Amino acid sequence: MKLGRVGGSPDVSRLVRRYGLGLMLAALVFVFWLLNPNFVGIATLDNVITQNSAIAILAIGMTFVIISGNIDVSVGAAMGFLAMVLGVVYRNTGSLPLAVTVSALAALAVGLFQGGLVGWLRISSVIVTLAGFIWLRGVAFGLTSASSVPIEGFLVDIMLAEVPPGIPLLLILVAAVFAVAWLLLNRTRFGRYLHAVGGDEGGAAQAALPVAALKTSAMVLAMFAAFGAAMVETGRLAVAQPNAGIGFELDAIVAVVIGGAVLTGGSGSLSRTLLGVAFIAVLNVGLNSLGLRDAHFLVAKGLVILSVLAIEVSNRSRESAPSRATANDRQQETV
Amino acid sequence: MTVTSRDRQNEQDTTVPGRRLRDRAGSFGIVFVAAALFITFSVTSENFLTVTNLLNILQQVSVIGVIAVGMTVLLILGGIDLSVGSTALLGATVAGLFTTYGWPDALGIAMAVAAGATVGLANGLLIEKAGIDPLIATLGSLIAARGVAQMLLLLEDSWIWVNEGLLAAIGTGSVLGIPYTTAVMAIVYAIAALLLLRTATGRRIYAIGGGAVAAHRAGIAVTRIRIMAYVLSGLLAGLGGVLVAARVGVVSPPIGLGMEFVVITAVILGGASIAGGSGRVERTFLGVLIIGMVLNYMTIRGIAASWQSAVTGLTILAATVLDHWLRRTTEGVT
Repeated sequence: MKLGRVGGSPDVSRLVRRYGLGLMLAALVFVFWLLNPNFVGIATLDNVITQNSAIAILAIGMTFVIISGNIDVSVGAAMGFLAMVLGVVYRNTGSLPLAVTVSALAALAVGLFQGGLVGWLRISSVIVTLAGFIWLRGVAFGLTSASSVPIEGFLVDIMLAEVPPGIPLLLILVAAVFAVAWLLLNRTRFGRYLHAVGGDEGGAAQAALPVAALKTSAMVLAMFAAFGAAMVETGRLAVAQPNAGIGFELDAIVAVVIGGAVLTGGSGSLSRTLLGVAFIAVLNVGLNSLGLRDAHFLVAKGLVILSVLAIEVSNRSRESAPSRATANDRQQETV
Repeated sequence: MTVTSRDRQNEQDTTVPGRRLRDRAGSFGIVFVAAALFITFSVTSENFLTVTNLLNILQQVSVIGVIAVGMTVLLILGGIDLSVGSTALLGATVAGLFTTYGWPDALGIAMAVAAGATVGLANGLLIEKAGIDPLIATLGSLIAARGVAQMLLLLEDSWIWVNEGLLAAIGTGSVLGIPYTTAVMAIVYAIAALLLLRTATGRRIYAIGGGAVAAHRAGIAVTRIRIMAYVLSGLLAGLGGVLVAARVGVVSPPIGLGMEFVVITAVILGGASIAGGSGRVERTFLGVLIIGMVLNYMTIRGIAASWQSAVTGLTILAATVLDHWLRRTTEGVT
């Protein structure tokens, strides 16, 4: 069995591990600038923020789920579902605050439902959220027979507002979400327990941690993130659409993983997730600015993501050789 | 060889007593679910239980049925492939282009299958050699393969008709009353069942699923077998693409969108575990049939497509929970 290379020059590899993603992000910006000198500009920065804030919010929620050792592939479909819950209530009552509240409650309900199946019934999060991916999108289209609902009111104003002038309010909102999430993950008992559950579920259970409740809460947080993202997309476009968030779950998961989280749980950091989001965002906007057609866009994006991951993963395995040996030791004990 | 936590989990699994019993309980659960649905549908709709309709279901599920075989082998090994839907589009596109350009159809089908196998090989190398998590690697190739396929489709303005030649014949013809696409699916299942249950390779595959580390120590070429499984998955996805093109008669970009999810749920309904180690093709086939029956029944009852996918998703969830519950009760352990 390959344990990775031990020794070599640990200082260099630690530096690469620490700043590798930042370097690759800088390289990506540089390449887009070479290909298109107009790429670096205020307009582009605006684009990066407004077009990708939904993905940023989703990725923040996804970080909690992945740290707890699960995954949620239903968040994109949930965006469509929650947008349409908002749309239907708004169309029938004319009250936007009521519509937003009902949509938030729907997010809570879906999160508790899926989280409960995963946490208490111990059904694989992959299968539960795969099913969610199918039925949530189905309900989203079914609610209005696939038609969209135009929205007017504070939701739209918030997304367009600039406070102070020049800085989108949306940016401040995303920063606030990030700050709250960071405190929750790094400064509370909940955050510590979540790491423990994802890192070693058996040990966490023996330490009498509420494993099921912790896993469920992480999935509820992911649904609240989907709610936030749905509100952002609905407000930004001034219309509630059943196809909101198609493919967003992929961007969110990739951002978290590029940011260094391991899908098997226990590790992951919000600031690095944000770096991952920045990478995905620059990639999305950059490829768009080159005027790539859909097909070429997909190929380029897929290839860039795969190569970044290959580089990141090989860096990590070189760095974490000792910890991997520990993982094997633990395995020996359990056998 | 990379040791993932799935491997670790499997190591622990082998120590669980009554594994055989649980497997048997699992297969009982899925048979029960399939039978219950079949009876309910037959009683509540007079159009469901007819020879034509049952053959129709078997034809409709042939594509996801074929692809689910590759996914079953991968899940046994502790792997997963999210790129099968995109690979199916790639296969359909390659086969369709050969027909359009008047090149030999048989060669086109072979090239479509080869294109699928190539995607599978890339997946296998990324996962087993570069050490990328299977979910992430195949997510990347899901995006890239769809992109390549759509680029090829642009050559023909994203729309290829397939209404003549060998491809169309496969889609519309039948042998002894059984549609060709269904026959292809039956052959694939027969071969896969023989491979898994009657050959040394099959035993090795289950050995790896039961515990990759132990299998490695026992001298089994874990990495090579896993890579071959990804190639098989890609190859069958390419073949699935050929069957879509043949059956639908047109190749267009939406082919295979979300197909990976339907395939994976069929396999998991069939009792395979995401954690690896378990899975049987004959039970996968039952999972495929359940999905096929549910979709068919809703079409008969005239339910709108969007609600159909809502009901499908919830049925899958209900079946999983029921299956899980049955296994737990039979096992007598919590």
